[in-house]
Amino acid sequence: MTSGNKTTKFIISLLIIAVIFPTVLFSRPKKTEATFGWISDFFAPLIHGTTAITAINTGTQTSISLKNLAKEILKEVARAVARRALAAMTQSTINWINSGFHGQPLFVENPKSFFKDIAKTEIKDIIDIVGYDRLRFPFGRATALNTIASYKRGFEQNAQYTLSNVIKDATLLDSYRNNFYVGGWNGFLINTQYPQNNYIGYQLLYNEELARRLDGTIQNTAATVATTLQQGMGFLSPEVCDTNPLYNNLQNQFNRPRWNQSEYDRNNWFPPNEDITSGEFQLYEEEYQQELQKAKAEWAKTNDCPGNLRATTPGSVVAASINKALGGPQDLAIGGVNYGNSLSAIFDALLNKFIGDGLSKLASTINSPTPNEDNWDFEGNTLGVADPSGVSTLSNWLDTPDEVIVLANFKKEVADGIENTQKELDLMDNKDGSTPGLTQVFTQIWQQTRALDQCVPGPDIYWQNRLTEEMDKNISIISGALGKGEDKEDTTGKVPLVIRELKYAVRFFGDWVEEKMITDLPGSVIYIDAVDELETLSPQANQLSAARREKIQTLSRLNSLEDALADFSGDPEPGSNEEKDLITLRKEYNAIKQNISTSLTISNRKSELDTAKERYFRLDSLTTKCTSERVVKGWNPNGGQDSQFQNGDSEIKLYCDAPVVGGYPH
Amino acid sequence: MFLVVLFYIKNRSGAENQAGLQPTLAYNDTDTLADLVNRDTDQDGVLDWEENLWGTDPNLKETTPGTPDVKAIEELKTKEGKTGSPISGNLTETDKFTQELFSTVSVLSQSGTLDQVTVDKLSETLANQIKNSPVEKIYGISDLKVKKDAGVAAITKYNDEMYAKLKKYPLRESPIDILDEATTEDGNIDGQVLEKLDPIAEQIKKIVGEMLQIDVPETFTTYHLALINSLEKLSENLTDVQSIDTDVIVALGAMSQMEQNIDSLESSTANLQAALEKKLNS
Repeated sequence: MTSGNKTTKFIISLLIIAVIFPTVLFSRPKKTEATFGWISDFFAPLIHGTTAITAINTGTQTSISLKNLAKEILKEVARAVARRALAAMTQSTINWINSGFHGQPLFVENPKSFFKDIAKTEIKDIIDIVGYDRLRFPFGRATALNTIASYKRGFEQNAQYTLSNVIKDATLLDSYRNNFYVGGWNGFLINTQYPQNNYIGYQLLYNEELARRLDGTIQNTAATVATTLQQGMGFLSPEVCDTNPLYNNLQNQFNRPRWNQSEYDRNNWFPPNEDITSGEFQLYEEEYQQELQKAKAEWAKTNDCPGNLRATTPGSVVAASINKALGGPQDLAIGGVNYGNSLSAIFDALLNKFIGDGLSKLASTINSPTPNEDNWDFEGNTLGVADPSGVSTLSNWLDTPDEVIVLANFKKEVADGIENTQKELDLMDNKDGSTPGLTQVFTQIWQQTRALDQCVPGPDIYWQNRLTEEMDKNISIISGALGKGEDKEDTTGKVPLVIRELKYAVRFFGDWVEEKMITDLPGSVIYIDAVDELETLSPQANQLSAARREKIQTLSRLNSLEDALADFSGDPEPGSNEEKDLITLRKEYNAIKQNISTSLTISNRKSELDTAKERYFRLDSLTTKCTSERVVKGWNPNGGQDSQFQNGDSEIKLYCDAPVVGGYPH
Repeated sequence: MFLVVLFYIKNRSGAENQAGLQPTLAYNDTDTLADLVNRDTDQDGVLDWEENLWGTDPNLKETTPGTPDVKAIEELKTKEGKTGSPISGNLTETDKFTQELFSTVSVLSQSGTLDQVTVDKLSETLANQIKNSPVEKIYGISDLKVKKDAGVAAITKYNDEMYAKLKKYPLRESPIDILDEATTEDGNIDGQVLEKLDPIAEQIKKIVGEMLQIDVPETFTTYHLALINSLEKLSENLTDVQSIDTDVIVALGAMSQMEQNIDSLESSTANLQAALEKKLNS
C-alpha cells in the first residue's frame, strides 16, 4: 500500500465526485419504511468502506472490485501488524530476560574458538605464575617457553625425542643419553629437563595425551564450560563482582583481566649497573618489587575481584543477536495471499531462530567484529598463531576464523589467480613451437618413440600382445576344427596336445624374436627399454588432459569473477546488498580456490615439463645413435618392416618368415 | 484474552489449570507441552527450565546446601534491584505470549525434543490459536425480545423500528478507510490513526444495544442474532486492533479475524435483507 494506495485513493475520490452527487441530490430514498435495501446500505461502510455506499449503486462489478480492495487493505494491515508483532515479541523477550533475569549475558557464538581461548587463558595463568619469579621457580622460565612452544605444536612433535632432529648417529645418541662423559651437563640437562627426552617425562606426556583423548573422564575447565553451556542453551553467564564496584564487570570468568608483567617490565624495568654490589642489588631488587606491588595494587583497583565473581544470566547479547537476526520490518518476507499462512510462517521463523544451536545463526558469521587483539606475551612469545611455520594445520573449517573480505585484496587475489592459472595452462598447452607445452612435448615423445621403435630391427612395439592374440585366435580355430567347441566334449582327445604344441611353438618363436632383437644392434636393449616406457605416457597424457580441463574451467570462472568485482568501487557497507553480493562472490572464489594455480603448482608443472623435454631429447639422441648402428650393422638407415638388410632380405622376412620357413625341429 | 490458553499452560499461580478445556500446544501426537513446561523435578516451586536459566540444579531443592533455590534466586533478584516474579505482574498478552514461547522453546530444547517436526507443530498450533481466539461476548436467543407474531404487520413494524433506531447511529466513516489511512508508505502502521476506529467500535456497540431492544418476529431471530453477533465480533476486532502499540499480539489476533468477521457481517445483512424482502413482498 504505497504508491498504489495513493492511486486507489485518487480513483476513489473521483468515484465519490462522479457518483455521490446524483445519489445525494436525486436518489436518496425519502421514505425508508417502504424499502428494505437500507440494511445493506447502512452496514456497507463496515463491509466495503465509505465509497461502497455509492459504488453499490453504480453496478455489481464496481461493488465486487471494491470488496476486493477492502480485502487487500485488510491483508496489508494484517501483514504490517504481523511484522510489528515480531518486533514487539522480540523486544518483549529482551525486556523479560533483562528484567526477570538480571545482568548482562554472554552468548557464545563460536564455541570452538571460545574453547581455544580458554586453553590459552589456562596457559597464560600458569605461565604468569611460574614464568617471572626466578627465585621460587628457577625452571619456570624454561618451562614457560616450552609450554608456549608445546601449545603451538601437536602431540606428535611434542613427544618426539629432540636430539634425533640434530644427531642422526644412533650410537652417538645412545651415548649422549647414557654416558655423562659424552653429553656432559648439556646432555644431562637435555635428557632430563625436556620431558620427551626421558622415560618419565615421556610417560607423563603420553598419559596426558591419553587422558585428553579419553573424553569426558576428566572434568577440566573446558568440560565444565561445555556443561554450563549445554545447560544454558548456549548462554554462558558472565560474572559480576559484588565486592569491587570498580571491577570491569561483564567479563566472564574465563576472560578475566590479567596483569601484564611483560608489558610492565618493558616500560619500567631497567638493568642494574654491571658493577653493582650485592647489597646494592638487594636494594635494587627491593625497590623494583615495591614499585611492582604498587603498580599491581593500582591495577587491581579496577581489575581484581576479591572473593568470587558471581554468575549472572542471559540478556543483552542474546537480545542484540535476536534483534539483528529478525532485522527491521523490511527484512521479513511475509508472502502469501492468505495471511493465516503468513502467521504460521512468522512463528516458524521465530521458533527457528530460538532453537538451541540455531542461536549461532542469530549472529552474522561473516565479517563479525574483529576480536580484541591478544597482546599477551611471555618474552615476546605469543599464543596467537597455532603454528609458527605459518602453514595452517587446521583440519576442519570450523577451526578457521571468520573471514574478512577486503575488496582490494580480493581483487588482487583474483587477478593473481588469473595470471598464475594462465601461466600454468601455458605450461600445459602451448602451440608456440619455441616454447612448447606438455601436450606438445608428449606428442613429440610419442612420435620419437615410434621412430626409435622402427629403427630397432624387429617387430614394432606391443608385438608380444599381438602374437598372443594371434595364438589365441588359432587355439579357438583348432578347438573348433577338432570338435571341441565351448560346450562340446573333446571327442578326439587330441586337442590338449595340439594346443600345447602350438603354445610351445609360439613361445619359442617369441623368445627367438626377442633374443634376435636385443642382439641385433649393440644398443638394442637400451632402445627397446626406452620404447617400452611409452606405456607410462598414456596415463600421463590422460592426467594432463583432465588437469587442463580443470584449469580452463577455473580460469573462465576467475575471469567472470574479475568482471563481477570490477563493479565494486569500494568496500561495501556492512549489511548492504553489495556486501551480500561480495560475500557470494567470495564463496564462489573459495569454491574454486584449490584449483587456482599458485607458484607451487606452476613450479611443479614446470619441472614436469622439463622432465618430459629431457625424455624427448634422450629419445632423439637414442634414435640418432640407433640409426648409425643400423648402418654399421648392414641395415638400411630407415627402419620399418620393409627395410632391408645387406643381403636384400626385408626386416619382415628376417624376423617373421625365417624361423617358420622350413621350420625348426622340436 | 485469546492467549489465556497459553498463559494457563504454565501459570504457576493458577491452581485451576484450564488448559484441558482449550486446545493446547502440542509438541508431539500424544503429549502437550503443559506437562513438560510445568515440570518441577525437585518440587521446589522453580520450574526446571527456569532453574537452568538461573544456574540452579533442577534436581536439587538446594543447589547450594543450606540455601533453598527459591531463596537463592530471590536474593539474586534483590541484589539486582529486581522484584517480583518475571512471569507475574501486569503483563500484556504480547509479554505472556513471548514468555510462553521462550520458556516453551527453552524447555523443549533442554529436553532434546525440539526437532523440526515439533517446531512445525508448535508454530501451527500458535498460529491457529491466535486466529481462533475466543470472542468476549456471544449473544444467544435468550438475549433477544422474541415476538411470536409473524404477520406482515409485525415484520413491517420490525423493519421500521430497526430503521428508526439505527438511523440514530449513521456509520459515516468506514473502518477499512481508516485502516488504509493508517498504513504508512513504508508498510508500517500508524497507531494514532487507528484511534479513529474507537468511535466506530463504540457506535457498533450502541447499534448492538439497540438491536437487543427491538421486538424480533420469531422467524427473524436467526438472522437478527447472526447480525448482532457479527457486529459484536467486528466491534471487538476494531477495539483490539488499536492496541497495536501497547499489546500487538492482541492486534494481530484481531487482524487475523477481521476479514472473516466482515464476510460474516456481509452475509448476515444480506440474509436479513433477503428474508425481509421475501416476507413483505409475498
